[in-house]
Order: sequence, then structure tokens, then C-alpha cells
Amino acid sequence: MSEAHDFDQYDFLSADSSNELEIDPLAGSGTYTVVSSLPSQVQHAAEAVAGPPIPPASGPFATVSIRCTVNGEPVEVPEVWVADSLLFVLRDRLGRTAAKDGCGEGECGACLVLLDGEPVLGCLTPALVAEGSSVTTPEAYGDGDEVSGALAAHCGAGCGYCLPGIGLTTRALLARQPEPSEAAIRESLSGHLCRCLPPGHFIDAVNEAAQAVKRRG
Amino acid sequence: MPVSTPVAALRPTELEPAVEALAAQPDLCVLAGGTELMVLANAGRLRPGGFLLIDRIPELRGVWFTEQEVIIGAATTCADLTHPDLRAVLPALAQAARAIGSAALRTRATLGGNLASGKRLGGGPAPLPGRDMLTTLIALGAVAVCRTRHDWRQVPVAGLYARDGGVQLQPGELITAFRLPLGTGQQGFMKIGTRGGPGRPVLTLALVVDPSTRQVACAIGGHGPVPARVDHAGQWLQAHVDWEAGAIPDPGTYQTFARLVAEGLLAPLTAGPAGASTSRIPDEYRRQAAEVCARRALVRALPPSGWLEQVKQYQIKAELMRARSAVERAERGLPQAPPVPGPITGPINVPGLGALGARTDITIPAQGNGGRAQ
Repeated sequence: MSEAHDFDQYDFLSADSSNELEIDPLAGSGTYTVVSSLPSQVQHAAEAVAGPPIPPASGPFATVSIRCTVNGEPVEVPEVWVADSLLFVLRDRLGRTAAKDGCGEGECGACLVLLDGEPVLGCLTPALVAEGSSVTTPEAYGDGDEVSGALAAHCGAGCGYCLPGIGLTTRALLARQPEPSEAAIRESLSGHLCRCLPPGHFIDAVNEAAQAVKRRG
Repeated sequence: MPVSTPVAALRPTELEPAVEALAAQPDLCVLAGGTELMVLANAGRLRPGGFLLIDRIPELRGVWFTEQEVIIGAATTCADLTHPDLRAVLPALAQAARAIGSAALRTRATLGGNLASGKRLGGGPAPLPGRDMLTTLIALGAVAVCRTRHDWRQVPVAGLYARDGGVQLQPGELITAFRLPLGTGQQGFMKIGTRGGPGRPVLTLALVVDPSTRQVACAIGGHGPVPARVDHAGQWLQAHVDWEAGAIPDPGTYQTFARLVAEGLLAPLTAGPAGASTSRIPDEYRRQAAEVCARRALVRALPPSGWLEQVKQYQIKAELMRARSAVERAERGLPQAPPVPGPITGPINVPGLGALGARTDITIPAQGNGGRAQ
């Protein structure tokens, strides 16, 4: 699979007149399997070295300037590519790294942030959607509240990659239902993948957080 | 019309400016929730000339209940579709929406986006997205309403796709809404496959019962580029249900119906290269899956006896929704007029749809003759 590492072949910066690279899933060629992972690496590598992508010969990269509120603080981010994800802008442009970059396909839930109070997946939300909106990242809660405490106590044995997203989901759940049933907890956490721990730990943590929030009143 | 400076991103709050922008700059990429497009963008496979955001257009988001039909705005989110009010009258649609991704994904994923994503007319081959909602819309007999700057186009949802699954939207065309008959009977949706995400399901199945016309519509998807209705199974079932008593007398009916539905898989599979199975799932496994899903869906929708009361409940709920719809829209300051050109008055035919191996005679009943609503 040496061609899998031929960056030119997949580099999305290279001139290409169509918006979508033409890859035929039915063709059965060896190239299809690598496409899902490689270009994002190419993209990240290119940006780490040279900043935002360089416009190719075939046309300019459409960029916009975005003003929004992140954790209550007004921010303005210039030159955001229209298809940059909210997660990318939060992590790589604004340095808010609590929301994690997991699968990039909406499966894992590690990138969850609140957009105007609604839970959304940072990786599948274009940054320009946040224009004029209020974004809440896991940083807004620090690690001092009941939810963080309960998650640390019950789920501390895991690697912690999924926890920022789970923390936000738990807070959104408790704001909606102060005493959630186990079914409600399972339902709301179903969008988060954890490879370290079984679900029982998270259900215990959410129950404990709910009781702690209730005690505080 | 040439444009001197291309727009990078537009977020109109009304439909008119949206279609005008799309007419002026057809390379604008329409983005509702972004949950399909951003997967491509994150993988470096999408580089739009600019985005036309349609997530802040009130006319495109919401559900309208009229005398004959339900009209669902194309930018209505999957989270909206799982609302208890809608679940009460269109359970199959709510179940299909619920089967998509996680709760956080459903806050942004939209009905129109689920149907419009993927390969386009004249575009190169691209992976086919799951389009789980399409199976249900086909079973419901939904009509897609498309809008260009000057024109409206209405087409049964299956007619939006070419045989290979490519979306047949013209440049500058925007899906504005889907119109479907207001459900007054039992419905069900089933899916076998991974939980949401970009993968295609092994099988999706939607079952829609209409006690007022004594018809059962079933559609299956996942086996080919476009889901298909299996009308022969529904037609066979019609005579084997005691509609007066609300019962299915012969317990063997369920298995026979399931077998007929599973046989429906064969038609698209043998329709030629474009209809060939698009995944590595063995056909025999998928056939068994279809049989099991069809049997379960039918048992849940029409148990051996005693479902007349349930039908009555559905009819009451549908009446209620119709009565409340206009009032609630006015109270909440939502647009009263749905994004459609007016009631459908004649038959809508899709030439060539018979090639899918499914329906050959798709017609929409003339207004007032829907037979669904009371």
C-alpha cells in the first residue's frame, strides 16, 4: 500500500476542478480504503506547518470572519475557511482544547459542545454556523462542579478522552431532568463512545451528580 | 447571471433570497445541518465555492397540518421529528429520525439533508449515504417539493434519484418541503445496521397501514441505491386482514407477508449493475433480515386482534393536530404558509421509475380524494 502514503494523490490542496474527489466505492480499487483517514491527516499536517490552507490554482478557498461568544467571552476569528468545523476553530484557532477531536464523523461524541445551549457535535458543525451565537465548551465548567466530581470519582480509571463531552451531556440532561431515570441516562449518553469503561460507571456517576446537585439546591 | 464577486457564505432568513442566491451562484453548496457535508469536509473531500446556509429560514423548518396532508419543511431537524406530537401521528418518521446518529447529531441533521446528500447529477461517483429517512418517506407516499428561482417542481421522493442513487436536483434547485398524507393508522420503522454515522444500513424497513383505505404500504432500503416499495406484499395482505373486526385471523399470514417482502429484495438486485448490492453484506443475510423485520413490523402494527381502538386513537390525534396546527403557528409567530406552490391537483408521474423494479404507476390522488383524512 505504498500509494497510500503518496500525499499528492490525496492532497486536497492540489488543483482539482470538482468539489468532490472522484472516488468510486464500487470500483474495488485499493485506493478507497485509505481515503477516510488520510486526507484529514494531510489537512492537519498542512495547517500545522503553514497555517490555513493555501488557495489552489483552480479557485480561492472561501473564507469568512466569525464573531461569536465562547464561554461568555466575545471572540472574533478572521479567515475561517467556510468548511472548517467549529471544533477546529475552538481547538486550533482559539486554544479551547477541552472538546476532543475523535472520529470526525459524528460517531464518538468526544467533540460535543453547546451551541446556544443545544448540544451539537463540534466536528460536524461548520464554524460559520456559530456566527452571532453563544458557544459553551467543557472549559466553562472547569473541574469544580458536581458533575466533574462524580465523573472523576466513578470514571477516573478510564483515559478520560470521552469525559468532557459526557460532562456537557450530563449537565444538559440534569438541567432538563433533575432526577433522570436510568433509561433517560442511557438514552442521553448513547451518543458517547467510551472504550475504557462499561456503561454502569457512567450511570452511577450521573446518579451521584444528580443527587449532589439536588443537595446543593 | 454572472456574479462579479462570489459569496463565501450566505445565511438568508427567507426563502426568496436563498433561491435567488442559488440561481446567481449555482456552485454554492447548500448546507442545512452540515452533518453529512462536514464528514466529507473533515476528510478533505469537499471544497465548496461557498455555503448557502438554510438553517435560519423559518419557512423551511416546521410541520404544517392541512386538511389532506402534512407538509414538512426540508430543513426540519431530526430532533424536531422525534417530538411527541409528531410521533403520535407519523410514528414511522419519528422512529426513522430517532435511528439517525446520536441526540447531539439529531439537533442539526435535517430531513432534507438526509435525502439530498450524496452524489449529484453530473457529479462523479461518491459514496451513497444511508438516507434512512427515505425508506419511510417512500412507504408514506411522500412528494418532494423543489424550488428554483422561477419554478416549482413536485415529484414523488423516489423520483429525486437516478438508478444509481445520484440525486437528480437541477442547478439552482432547492428542496423546500415534503408533503405526505396525514397518517391515521399504525406505522413502524426498523433498521438493521450500525447506529447512525456514515455507514450504510444492512436493511431499513418501513410499514404504513391506512385503515381508511385498507392498504398496507411497505418499503425496504439498504439493499440498493434507492429504497423500493414492495407493493405485491401489501396487496396480498389486504385480503388477509379482517378490517371490520381489527384482526388477522390466520397466524400464518405474518410469515407469508414477511416472505413476500423479502422476495421484494430480489427485484432491484437483479435490475442490472446499477441495482447491484452496494455493500459486502451477503444477500442471504439481508433476505433473512428483511423477513424478520417485516414479520416484527407487521406483528407490532397489526397484532392478531384488538387494534381497532388503537386506530381510533390515531384518528383522534390526527384531528387534534390539524385543529391545533394553525393556532399554534400563529401563537408562536411561525409562518402560516408552507413552502409549497399550492395543493396538488393532478397526477404526478415519474417517467422511468419502473426501472427500479418497484412502482410503475405512481400517482397522487387529486385534491379531496386523498381518502386518508376522514
